[in-house]
This record gives sequence, structure tokens and C-alpha cells, in this order.
Amino acid sequence: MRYEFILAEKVSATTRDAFPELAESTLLPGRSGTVMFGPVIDEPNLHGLLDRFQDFGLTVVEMRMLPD
Amino acid sequence: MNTAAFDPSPPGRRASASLRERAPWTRDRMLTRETLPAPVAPCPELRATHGSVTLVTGSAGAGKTMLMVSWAQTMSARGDGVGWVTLGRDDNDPAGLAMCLLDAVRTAIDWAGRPDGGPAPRSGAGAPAAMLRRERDTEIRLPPDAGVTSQVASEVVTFGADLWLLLDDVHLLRDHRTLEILETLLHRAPPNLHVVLGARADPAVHLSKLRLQQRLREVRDHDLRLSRDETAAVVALNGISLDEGQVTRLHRLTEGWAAGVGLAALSLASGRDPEPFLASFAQNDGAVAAYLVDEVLDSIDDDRREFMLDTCVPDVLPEALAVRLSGCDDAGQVLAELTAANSLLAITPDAHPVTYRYHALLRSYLRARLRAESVERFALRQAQTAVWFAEQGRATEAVDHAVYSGDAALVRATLHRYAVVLLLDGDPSRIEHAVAAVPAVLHSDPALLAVVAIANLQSVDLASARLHLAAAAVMGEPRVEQGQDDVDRGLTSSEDAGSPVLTFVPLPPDRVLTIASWTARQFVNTGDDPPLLTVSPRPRPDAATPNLRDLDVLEDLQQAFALVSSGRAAESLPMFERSLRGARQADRAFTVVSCLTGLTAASGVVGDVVETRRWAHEAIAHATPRGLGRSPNLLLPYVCAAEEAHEHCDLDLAEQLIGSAFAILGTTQGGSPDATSGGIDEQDAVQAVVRSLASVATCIDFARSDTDPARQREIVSRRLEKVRRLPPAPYAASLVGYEMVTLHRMALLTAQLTVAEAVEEISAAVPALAADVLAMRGLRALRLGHDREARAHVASVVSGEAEVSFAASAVAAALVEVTTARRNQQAAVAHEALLVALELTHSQDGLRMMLDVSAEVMGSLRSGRGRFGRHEPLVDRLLETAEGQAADSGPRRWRQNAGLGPAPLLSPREISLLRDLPSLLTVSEIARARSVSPNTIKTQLRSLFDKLEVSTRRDAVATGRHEGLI
Repeated sequence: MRYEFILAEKVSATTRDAFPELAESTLLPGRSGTVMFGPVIDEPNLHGLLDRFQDFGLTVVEMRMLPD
Repeated sequence: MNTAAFDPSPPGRRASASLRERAPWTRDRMLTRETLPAPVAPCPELRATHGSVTLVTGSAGAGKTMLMVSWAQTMSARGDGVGWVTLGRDDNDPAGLAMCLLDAVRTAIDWAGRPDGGPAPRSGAGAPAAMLRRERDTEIRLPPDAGVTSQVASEVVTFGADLWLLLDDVHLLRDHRTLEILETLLHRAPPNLHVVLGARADPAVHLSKLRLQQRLREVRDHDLRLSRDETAAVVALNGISLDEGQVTRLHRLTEGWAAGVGLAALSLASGRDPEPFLASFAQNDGAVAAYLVDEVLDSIDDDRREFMLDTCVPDVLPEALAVRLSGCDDAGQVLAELTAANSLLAITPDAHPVTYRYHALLRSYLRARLRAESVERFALRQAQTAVWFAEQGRATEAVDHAVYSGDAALVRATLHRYAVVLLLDGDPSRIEHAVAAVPAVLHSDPALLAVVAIANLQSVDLASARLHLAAAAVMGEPRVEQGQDDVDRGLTSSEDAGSPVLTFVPLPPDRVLTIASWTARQFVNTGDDPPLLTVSPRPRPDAATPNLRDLDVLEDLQQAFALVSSGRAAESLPMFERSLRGARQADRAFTVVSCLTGLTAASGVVGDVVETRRWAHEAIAHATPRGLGRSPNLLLPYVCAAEEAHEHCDLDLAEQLIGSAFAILGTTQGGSPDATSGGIDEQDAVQAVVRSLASVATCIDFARSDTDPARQREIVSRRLEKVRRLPPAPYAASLVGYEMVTLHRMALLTAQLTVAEAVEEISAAVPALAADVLAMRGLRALRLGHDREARAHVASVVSGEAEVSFAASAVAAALVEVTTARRNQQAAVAHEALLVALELTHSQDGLRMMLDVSAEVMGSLRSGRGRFGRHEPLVDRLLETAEGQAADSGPRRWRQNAGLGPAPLLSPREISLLRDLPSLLTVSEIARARSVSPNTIKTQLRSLFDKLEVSTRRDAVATGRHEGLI
């Protein structure tokens, strides 16, 4: 599966490197924050990712599964 | 990751428990949240039937833990009982959680209302005094899951005063069994037990019900946000002076987020000018947390920053490890100062040695920053942490950190040292994950390949096990230089000071491979196994290194199991015992329980009932206080203990034990106990245990239904159906014998003679049960009143010519003799035979096996009192039990002075007549329908009424229904 996460905050390079499995994507014009996307193995992996976002105090604004 | 304590754990206490039952303490000066006062118990008049529940939720850094700690202090000062548990990822074992909760409650009760709970705590002990730990030996006997909540409830009710149980990080509970415990605790808390839950996410329990009952108070993220005034207070507490406008700006920028304010305060504490700080803060468009952490790290002096970066790798930071990682001897001092300065570093009071913990948020950022600054340094710190833990003998942390360091040589060395420990601790997945993360480790290393294979088998991943075993076998001996290479590599990386070196102590590949093959044998019968040792083992010489010592224990254990699987159970016994000694010495609780279970199984196969039960009890007694009460290992011991309780006519205990067995089964197989599906080849042993479980459960169910004969008939016929479908092979004769004999007995009790015959037929197909079948036939003949035939059947069993495979059959045969002799007025013969039966029963630690045969047996026991010599106590017990059962069960079945009254034995004609009785037909009408005279019917009715022991038609119908005949 692949997921895309839109975070409310602008994520620094350092923080981004703490998520090596995700890549950053460009934002739609007019939106702020960060877009990250990448592979997600299964449900537990997804919840693990959400926990890690929370570990960094990042807010997930939107999350969606990407077409394969 | 584990939150492990490093004090040597006393036996019976899980290491991590003592650390987490203390509230984390930070600085003395904490903010008092006026808007969020500590919850108060409702006054007695308004008291509900259950205690209150308070839920505190908030994202990372919202301030939940701090709030709960301040509440705990307030409550303790009030004199209420306060118990604290910080939950971790490892708390998803229900038995472990149960122990924690119970301990926390007990500690709270112990320390409630102590004078130390008052004001002016000595520094370093800011945590409420109620948190102090006292050693106790918790010898809890067999707590089923639901029992924990009852135990907690009863202790709290006895305590009487209000008791607050604060559980932090509840969101880490993921397993449905632990959530069930939590849910039960919340919903059934007695009125004086109040639970406070702290979580980052709503816990997966049903809160809506609590809301409806108005027992739930919620403090949510937005409640935790600091108000402007509170922000000002925090700033003032940190000794920073800001003017009103600056405070307002700070509040707006952080949005009152507690961690944000804390970080900002930390930044400003170094004395910098607040104006530029606030200005650039305002301009930041990145994540607030990231910005603030960076600010903090930039604002403190270089030494401090490097120190924090160096020490952020482990989750829990003991002082000694901090010294190693930072290279500063005064690391303890630095940590103490940092703790005093801000609340993002917590200290666990009174732990030995003192341990520290960075707040999760800060830790995440520190690690990210460290990795960004220097990947090598990050890996190095991980490696150092791994080596430190390895030196402390902490296998799990050592392996985890070695894997995070990515250093293959280090991982290899750590696994060679600790993989066997992980296997002995029942933690195979950690090995599997390590190898998945760093596959290079397996390259040219047959010993590790074999170890991974064993881990796969423990996790029941047979496909991977086969692959790894095959690869290991192909590889043969490694190059001698291999080990040297690794050591050299390890040494060369030690060029800079303080870098990690772990002495490489290789596992011998041939031995590990042999062990792996033996382990595999328990699952798959391949036929081509390495030969098993036949020598009866003397104590081994002390192994050279610790990992070889561990290997000895594992080798003995797996070989013993393999011997049992190969049908050489008797030889396995001394080997299990040797492994047990080694495991006890090394305090490997999981393996101790495995050994005890192995001894239970082997003794069972050998047919030594007394030993089997002894080992079963030891296994349960050892496992339960160590949080292993629901380990799959314990399935067999619980079944054996349940069977014993049933045999001793203690049905309450039997039900409790079989309930525990079902609980374990439910979690491992998630299915019904009558697993007749295929896959018997793999996991023979498990299938055998499951089958015994079903047998014992049926017996208990039957005994429980004493007042409901209709239900008993149903139980019997259903069990027959199931048993018909089960093949006798490859189960041990003793197991099948038990099943058949007990089913036969139950069938006779409900007068279902056709069922009894069917059981005899099935048993006759098993050659080993030939003698038992004779005993069964004897019993059935006796029931029908065909004494001579009965005697003939059991003659060869009584004389000892024919050997039974299930001891109760021999007892039954002797009792047939007793009965027929008694009916023939041959008192002396009866007495002799009774002595034989008593001797056999005594040697089998039996009781029930003598009770269900005939009224004459009970009569002989009564009349022969005083002449039974050393069996007098057993006779007393038998008679006592019989009277007890007569008192408990229905009036018809058990008669006070005669013992067992058999179920009415009706002929088919009588049964059909009985079935006509509920109708409104008169006797003449019934007679006409059957073309016989009314007098004939009347005679038949009279005999029917006699057999049913009734005098009216209505009573006959009622009894018929009760017996399940209509």
C-alpha cells in the first residue's frame, strides 16, 4: 500500500530524515505544511507511522491511500 | 523498547515492574493547574455503585504526565491511597499487567496515610511517598484473568478508604486481552476505587457506557493547554522575567502547548534576550516543536548540547550508561542539573542505580538531530549502548541496540552471546527481527542459521525453519578465520576512545545444528534425525563461557522433548531434570516452566500419576507469580491439575483450572477444543493436549450437571459422536484409555447402555486397551445384574494376567469383584478385593474412581471400617465425599446411606410406555392400542413406577422428563 500524509507543520530536513521510508512531495498552491508519502506494509505499520508523527509533535491533517 | 530496571530483580519479580510503579519525578517546582484540580471522590451519600474514572488525553508534550503527578501528590497529601503504573509496550501480556495492577494497589494500601506523604519532602524524593517500593513475596495461586479484577476489588473494598489508581500511557495497551482486563477494571470498580488514565490516544475501551453512567470525567488536549496566566506562571517558575506583552506573545506562539512553553523557557533560561527570540519564533513556519528544540540546543552551551545528543539514544538512561556515552565522569551531576532545570528530563526516584528519561518528544528530536549531524556518531552511540547492556547481561536491549547500530559484526557477536538466552526466555521474534534487519549476519555462519531455525520453530514458522536448517546443514564448518575476522574488525573500530568492543564468543555450529534438528523433531516427523543420547546424564562440568552454559540448558531441554516425541519418555526424565537445574541457576523462568511442563508430559506418558501431578503443580506455581500464567507452556499442567481436582471431587477448583486452560487455548488457537482438523502431523504434542483438555472438560461438565440428568445424557452422547471421529493414533494409550474409560463410566451413570457398548467397541480396536475393555464389559454386566458374566470378564484383570493401560480399569475390576462377592454374601472375598482396590486407588492418588461403581461398594466400605489398616484415612475420605455429594445433588441420584443410586434402567417397552403417559389416554386406551389387556399395562406401570421410584402418573412423567427419557 502507499499512503500520503499531509502534516500541518513545515518539517525540517532533520525531522524528514527520521522518516527514511517516506519521501516529500510538493504542496498544492495555497496550502501550508508538509506532504510526505511512501510505502506502508500493513495496518500496524500505518499506526506505527502515526505514532512516530505524534512523537515529533506533528499534526496529521489529512491522510489518504494512494492508487498503486 | 523495554523500560527495564537495572536493579537485580529478586526472584518472583519481573525486572521492569519495579521501575514503572513509581511516578516519574521532575522538579520540585511544578505548576499548579488551578483549572484542573485533582479529582475528588464523591461524598458517601452520592456514592455510585462504582468508582469514578478520569481520562486525561493529550498529544505528546501536552502535559498529561505532569498533571497526573501533581494530582498524585495532592491525593497522597489528602491521605488517600495512591497507586501508579506507567505502562509500556511490554505490558501486552495479560498476566503481567494483572500482576502490575495488583502490586500497585497493594503498594498504595501499604503506604496510604503515612506521615511522609505530608509537605516538605526531602529533595530527590519529590514523588509521593506512596510510590516507594517494598519487597513482597506475592504467592498468588492461579489467578484466572477475571480473577485479577476480583482480587483488586476485594483488596480495595477491604482497605475501605478512597484509593486512586493512576495508569499512564494506556494507549500502549494494544492486545485485546489486556484491554479486556482494563475494561473489566473500569466497569466493575468498587465505589472507593477510582481510576485515572493518561493516554496519548483514546484507549480502546468502551467509554460511552461510563459517560452514560456519569462516571467519566475527561480532560482533553485543549483542557491541558496553558492559559495566558498559566504561561506567565511557568515562565516565572523558571526564573525568567518577561513583560506582559512578551508573555502574551509567547502564549500565542506556543498556543499554550505545555512542552512548547517549557522548551521556550529552557531556551530563555540561559539568559538570552527574549525579544529577538520571540521575533524569530514568530517568523518560523516550521513545526513548533522542531523549532523550539533547535532553539534550546543552540542556546545551551556546547558541552551540554553534545552531552544531550550523546545520551539520547537509549529509552531509559541509567547514570553509568550516561557516563559511557558522554565520556564524562560527572554525567550524573549533569543529568541532575538538567533535571532540575526543566521538566523534559525525568528521574525515577529511589531506583538503583538512578535512571533518567528524556521526554519522548525531546528524545525524538535529539535522535533525529544526532543522525542528521553524523550518522557514524549515531551508530557509534547505538553500538556503545548495545555493548553496555551486553555487559549488564541485558539480552533484549543489547540485541535491539546492536541492530539499530547497523554494525553487522556487533550484531553477530551479540547474537552469539545472547541468542540462546532469548530462546530460553521465550523471545524468538527478537532474533528473527534482528536477522531480518541485518541479514549479512547469517552469511557464512551456520551456528546463527541454526539458532534462527530454532527461533522460527519456537514461533511456529515451519517454512522458514526448514530453509534455515537446510542452509545451515549445507554450510558445514565455518572457516576458522571467520571468528578471528570479526574480532579484528571489532578491534580496529576501537581506535577512538570509548568505542565498543564485545568479545566474540562463538557458538559451536555442530551442537546448535543438532539442537535445531531435535527441536524440529517435535513438530515434524522426518525420520532422519541425529541420534539421541542414551546415557543417563550426570551433572555436566561447568561450561567455559556463559553462552555455552545457556546452550547446555537448551540442549538438554530440546533433547528431552525429542526423546518424548520418539516414544522414549522414561529416558527423558533425568534430562529434563538436568535442564531444570541449569535453568533455575540462571533464573530463566520461561525455560524452568518449559522443563516442568516437559516433566509433566513425560511422567504422564510413563503413567506415573503422582509425579505428573506434582510437576504440574510446580509448573503452575513457578509460572504464575512471574507473569507467565497464560503462557502456552502451561496448557498441559492446567489440564493435569484440573483432572486431579476432578478426581478428588473438588469441582470448584476443577472448573477454575480448566477455565485457565481454555483461556490459554483461546489465545493460541482461537478455536474449539475438539480440533479434528488435519495438520496432526505437525504439532502432535499440541493435539494430544487439546484432546485431553476436551476429555477432562467433559468430565467436569458432567459432574457439574449432577442435578440435571437430561443434560448429562446429552453430554455423553455428544462426546461419543466427537470421539468416534477422532483417530486413536498417534495418541498415547494412556490418553485414549482415560477418554474411553471415563466416557464408559459416564454412560453407565446415565444408563445409556448402548453408548457404553459403543465405547467398548471403539476401545477394542486399540490393542493396548484390551484389558481395559474387559473391565468395561464387567462393569456393564454388573449394571445389568449379570453377576456371573461380570465376574468372568474381569477375572484376568483381577488376577493380574491382563495389564490395563489406564489404572482406573484395574480398580473397576476389583470393585466388580467386591460387588459380586457382596451380593453373594461372601464378605471375606469382598473385603479382600476392596483392599486391592484401595491399594490401587491410593497409589494412583485417586478418589472418584472408587465412588461411581455400585452401592455395594459403599456398603462394604461402611461395614468394613476399622479393618482397612493404613487405608483407613482414604476410606474416611471416600465416605465423606460420598455424603457430601449426596447432600449437594438431587435427591434421586444419590442416597445418603447407599452411595450411588444408578439411573433407572428401563426396558424398551417400559420406555415406550413412559412416553405414552404424558398424553391424556387412559390405561384402557393404551392397552387397546397395544393389543394387550389393561391388567398387563397396570402391571407394567407398577414396575415402571417402582423403577422410577414414583407412585403417580404425573410424577412418572416429571421424573421421565428430568432423566431425559421423554
